[in-house]
Amino acid sequence: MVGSPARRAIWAYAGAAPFVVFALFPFAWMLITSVKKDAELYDLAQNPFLIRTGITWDHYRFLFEQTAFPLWLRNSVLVAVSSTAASVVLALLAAYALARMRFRYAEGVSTFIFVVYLMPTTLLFLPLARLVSLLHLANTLWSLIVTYPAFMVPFITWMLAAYLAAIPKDLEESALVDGCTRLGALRRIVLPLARPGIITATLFGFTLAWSEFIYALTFISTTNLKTVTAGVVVDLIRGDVFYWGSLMAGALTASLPVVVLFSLFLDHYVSGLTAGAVKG
Amino acid sequence: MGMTRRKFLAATAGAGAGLMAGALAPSGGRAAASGTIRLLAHSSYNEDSDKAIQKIGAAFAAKHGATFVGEFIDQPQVAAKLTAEEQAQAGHDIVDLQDNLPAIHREFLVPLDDVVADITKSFGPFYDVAKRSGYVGGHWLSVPWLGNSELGVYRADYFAQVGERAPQTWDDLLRAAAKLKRAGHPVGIAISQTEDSNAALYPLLWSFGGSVTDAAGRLTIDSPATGAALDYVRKLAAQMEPAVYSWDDSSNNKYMLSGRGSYTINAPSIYLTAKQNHLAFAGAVKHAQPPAGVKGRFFYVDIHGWGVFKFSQNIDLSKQFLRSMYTAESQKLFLTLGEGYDMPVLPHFDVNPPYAADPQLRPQVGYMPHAHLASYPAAPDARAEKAYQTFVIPNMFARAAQGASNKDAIAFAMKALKDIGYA
Repeated sequence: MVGSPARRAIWAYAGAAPFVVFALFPFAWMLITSVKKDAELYDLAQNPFLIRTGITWDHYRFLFEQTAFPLWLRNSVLVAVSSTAASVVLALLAAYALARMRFRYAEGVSTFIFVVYLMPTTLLFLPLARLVSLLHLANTLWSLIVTYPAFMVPFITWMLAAYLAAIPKDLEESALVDGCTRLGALRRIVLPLARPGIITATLFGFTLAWSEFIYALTFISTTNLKTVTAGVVVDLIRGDVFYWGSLMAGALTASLPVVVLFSLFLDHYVSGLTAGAVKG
Repeated sequence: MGMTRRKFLAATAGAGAGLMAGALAPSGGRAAASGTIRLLAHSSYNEDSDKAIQKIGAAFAAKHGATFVGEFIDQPQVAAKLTAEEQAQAGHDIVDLQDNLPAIHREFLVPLDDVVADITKSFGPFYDVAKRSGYVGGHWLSVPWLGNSELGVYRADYFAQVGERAPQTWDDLLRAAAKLKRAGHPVGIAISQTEDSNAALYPLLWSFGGSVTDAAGRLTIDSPATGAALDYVRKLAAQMEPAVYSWDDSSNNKYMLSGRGSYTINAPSIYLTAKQNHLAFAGAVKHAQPPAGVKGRFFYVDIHGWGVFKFSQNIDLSKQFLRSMYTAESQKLFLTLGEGYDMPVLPHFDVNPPYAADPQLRPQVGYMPHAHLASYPAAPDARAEKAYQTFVIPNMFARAAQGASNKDAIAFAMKALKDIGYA
């Protein structure tokens, strides 16, 4: 019927609208706060969602010129990319073994990985601090690159194992029968099929590394080596004075790389999340 | 044609590889070379205070052919950092130790009796309250550096509008609070899980004759005096906005700087921020001593001192540096750049500190001789720190103010304190 697709579209957008508003609200708040003048920020009588006295870029200027924010961003990128790459490689091999291979204690290993995944990272920072010191990595970015996989690998393994288990075994078995090695089958058959799942797990893992705070705080002291999560909190909060405008500018800017990444791989991400939802 | 996803990723990956090669190369951020002193401190409200320490450090380093690295982090994060470094047996040489921390970390700290002896030979003894923090088990484990006050911060114009003056007693404040609420400018004292709440409610409790423990560390919170304090806060809370139950450390600053609030208890940061930002009402923001109760006026102070870790590779150099922080020039630089947010811990430098020229900061002169730590009247220890960090006292007052009976509120505090280890 004419108008029926339009009506369906309207209902679909109307249904999604509350969720979109809910999801975008923090970004809108950060953006508005980051461009408001200090006097208006302090004025509790003003509407927090409106800018009445004009936009200012002073908070961004302060952030980029008076703090080491660009260096913190660089450090976060380096640490998140390196630790995610290492974790995905390790987790993929582990997940493949758990999903495909029958070996003694396989179920126990799987349960163990899940239990480690559940362990709060704040419980691990004390023993890891000792380890970092023994390896002479204290106050370097390597201290984070080496320790982040401790919580990323279990998480990514758990995600990938479920995804790989849903891929039919027949394809690999055919390749093995044709003389392909196990690693060859993994590389030529499984990886292309598992790409959406790998991308999804990588994105989640990257977000974990990007937003991590306690290790970044305790393992690194030098201002120029801080990641964005620790640096923003340390330099933009002084005693009982919070530089709200610059804090929001920092939070908004720091969230952009993750937003860009998710946007770039949205189709794979959706596919990876919904794989297995409908049995073929 | 437009950029494809593949080209974008290839371009950023190439640039990223170049960045990584540079940034991940071994750098000076590693373990300190010998002759390098690394100092960890809380980041002061006033950035210039941190810069003063950097300047003193740079001057010392230049004179001794050493290197000085000062690192400043948010105060609540210092304890986590200290614990991690103790576990790792590596990290900073000199660390910032507040209030109870020297007692808690005593096993890891070098005695600094010789440093203190040299300082006191030149300038006389430290204030008693500073000594209570730094002198543990017969040794100086921390050299006191500064004190932070908690004063009554009020809008003189709002008080004048309702016919009141700066409150001298808690009853004065309660009377004024009712009028100020009607006038649209309520008072605001945090009754929440934040340091400002501890800083306001501990001295209030003391001024009513109550305390967490006696001098021997035995629980005394269950007392008629505590009940009287709870009754008072119940009445005062009725004149405040409900948001005070969820305030953080910055909330009372915002409340006053917005122009809405008329009174709070805080360090001088509100006044100094208003002055620095040239807010229209800056001239009306004034300080008064904290209100007195039936048992007198009590002053709360946070003491920060410097400790040296036993695992430091530069203990002797660190001690020399600490001595250099307590020269007349260093103290004058620190107190001048601090603009009054930090008070001296040596009476010698408290006679006419640089900030005394400002009449609004003069209430801090003579503050320290009468000030107490949160553990008062007992000595600082880990239990007092735990009670402080878990906000037992603010939670007790919050329960009473929000409807619990005195008996229930005190019972809650008793249980929490006994779980911490008090008897």
